[in-house]
Amino acid sequence: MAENGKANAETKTYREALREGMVHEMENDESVVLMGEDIGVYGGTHLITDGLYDQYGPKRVMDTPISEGGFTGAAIGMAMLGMRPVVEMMTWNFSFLASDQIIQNAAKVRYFSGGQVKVPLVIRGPNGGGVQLSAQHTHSLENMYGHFPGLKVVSPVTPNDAKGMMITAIRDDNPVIFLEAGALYGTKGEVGEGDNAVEFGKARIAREGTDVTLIAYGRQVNLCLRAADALEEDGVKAEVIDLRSIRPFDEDALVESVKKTHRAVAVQEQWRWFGVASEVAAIIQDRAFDYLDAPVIRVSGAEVPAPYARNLEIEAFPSEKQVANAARRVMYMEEK
Amino acid sequence: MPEVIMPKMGDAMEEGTVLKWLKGEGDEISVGDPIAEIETDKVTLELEAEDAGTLSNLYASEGDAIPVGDAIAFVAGEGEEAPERGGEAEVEAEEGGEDEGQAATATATEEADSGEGEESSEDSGAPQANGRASDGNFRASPIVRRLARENELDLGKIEGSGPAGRIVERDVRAAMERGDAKAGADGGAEGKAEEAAAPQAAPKAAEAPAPTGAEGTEVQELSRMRKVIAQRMSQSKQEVPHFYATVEVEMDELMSLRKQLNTSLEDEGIKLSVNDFVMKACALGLGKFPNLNALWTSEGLELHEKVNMAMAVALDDGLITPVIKDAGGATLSTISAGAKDLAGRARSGDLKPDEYQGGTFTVSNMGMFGVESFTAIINQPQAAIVAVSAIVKRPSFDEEGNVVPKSLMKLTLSADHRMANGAEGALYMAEVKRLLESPMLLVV
Repeated sequence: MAENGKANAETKTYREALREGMVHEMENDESVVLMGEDIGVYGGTHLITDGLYDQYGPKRVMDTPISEGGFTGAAIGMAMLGMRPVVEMMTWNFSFLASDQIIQNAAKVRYFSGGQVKVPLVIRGPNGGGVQLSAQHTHSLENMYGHFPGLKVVSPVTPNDAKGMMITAIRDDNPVIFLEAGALYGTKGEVGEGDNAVEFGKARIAREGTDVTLIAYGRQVNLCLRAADALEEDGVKAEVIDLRSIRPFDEDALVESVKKTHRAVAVQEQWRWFGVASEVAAIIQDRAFDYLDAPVIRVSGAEVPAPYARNLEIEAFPSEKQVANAARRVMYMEEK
Repeated sequence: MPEVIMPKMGDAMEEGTVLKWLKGEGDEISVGDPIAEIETDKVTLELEAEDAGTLSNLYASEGDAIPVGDAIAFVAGEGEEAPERGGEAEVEAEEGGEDEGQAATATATEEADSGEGEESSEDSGAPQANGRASDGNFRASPIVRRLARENELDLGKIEGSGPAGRIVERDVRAAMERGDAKAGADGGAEGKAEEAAAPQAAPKAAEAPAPTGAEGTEVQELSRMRKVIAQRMSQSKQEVPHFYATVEVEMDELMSLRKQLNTSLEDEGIKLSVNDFVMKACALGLGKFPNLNALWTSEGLELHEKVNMAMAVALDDGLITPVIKDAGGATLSTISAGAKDLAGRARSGDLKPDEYQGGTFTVSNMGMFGVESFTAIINQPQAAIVAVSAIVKRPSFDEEGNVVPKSLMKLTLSADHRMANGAEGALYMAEVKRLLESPMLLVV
């Protein structure tokens, strides 16, 4: 098999890539089972698991009651006993109900048992906003789950990474919080054939540049790429780093890039306070201080509950223009 | 822990040169033992020990010029060691800011220690604390500080283009390309002497207070020109040791010659002003005093053969100094026509850059406002400027002691004491006076 399967890449949607990653592991390992609300007979609210019930039957693709705490706790128990459950949160907003199970049990059992009991569990679902689901259904929880030792948190943006990181997540012996870019389920990209497992804790350079580093994860990576295009018209070569993995975190990639560019902008859809971008800024000042030519700027969502109205929702999230202007600011250029 | 200090052996003494060490490191010394020969600008004498002990460290090498008050050696008591000196300088610099002068002194001494002082004594430049000593006083991004450290740059010589004047990477890169920000590039012995004197002479500029906002006030932002004038004038007054020399010139003969000339030149539309004569006389007089027709550069005095006479022209918001090229070689009528043309276009804002750059000497005239006497600020990097006051009719004594009316005009020279001595300034002003009082000399 070619490395990462990229030699035989085919264009697929993010949705198809996720499904392919799960199927790849279900084929290899009978202990991999899927659980969640409406994922079986109905095919999943977002059609991620469409067709899998017919393919694998009710023992491996399980419809659960509307009880996130209950089925997440059940999945943790299954994982402790050797199964590899992949649990769907219809959206990550519903995980608040399961957060006691996730934080108190999934993240702690291996520690409490002195390493005797592992929890090879994946919890996956759409994270963040952008599709007019309003305040209660629009949260970006990477910082919340990224806070807890014992959990791994990933947030792929390309279809190839969606598949490759799903494969890695299922193989991992620790609970993995798999944050999908819900607004991007229909976007297409090349996806490696077969086993294209993507290692956790390795950021991806989405675009090479020399003048300023734009750092993001999830769907904000695409925003940064568009901002980089706009900046190119000003003669600015922006480097875009896709973190991919929030915990473990690839500090070296940031530091290496900033040593080259001397300027950084951290972008996140979530609110500014206590977010991943703040962590990015802290790491850079800590490890690349002598290379910085300007303060690290954070571009974040507006400090309001996510609005429903389309025009307001657009205003509440970081825009391409905000990112490009933040880059201009650290370049000491006129904003546009 | 007694240090041997460069003593002050005269009011004007600012530094002394260690000509010769009479004792070496490790020698036992008693109170009163001659330990070194010190040369000041006036005398050479032996420095005697004030403490007994072991001469443990010689900080100054033979030939080093050391500021008054700085340590040149350390006398150790039993079991005592000389303190770490570099560290002290660093600490002073870091504690930062208020005591910049002291840090600069320490640094100057350190450099003198390395024995380079003498060799570079001709490289003199504007006294400026080097990057290390004054680093804390500039706004600069972290990478700028690192580049400055690694490349031994003096951030004081780099203009910041970032917010609030922050020095950012592109400013340093540009300065490195130009190669004009090297620390110590202009810090020869003379520069160091200035630095050494700096603690008293140049306290850090206090930040201007915020507007009071009181009733009946308004805040006017500085125009671009005002800012440049503010910056250049402050810099000149702070950096250039001005000295002044005033002469009073009898103008009667010149006035009558001017009248004659203007009558006969009327048809040609030429009308010579008093200032034209003054500029001509100043330019001619400089022939004998080349270091007053000179520029202060990083490598020493740049002496100019020709006098490019800058003349101060007042504008509504500021002033500008257009330049009459080769005023020494030009005739009075050429100077007159040139001055009229330049002043006119200066007021209408139509001067080209090469018409107000390249001056080597400046004349500033406030006679038309009835000013009886004033002093001008040197237009850096020029060596001197002459302030021209009004012609005033006053009773005066003639040679027989009779009181007679005379037209008198005061001229005040401001000159850069780094470039010329008082005597030269005095002789030059006497020459200008002689030329103006024998005005035919200006016509031939």
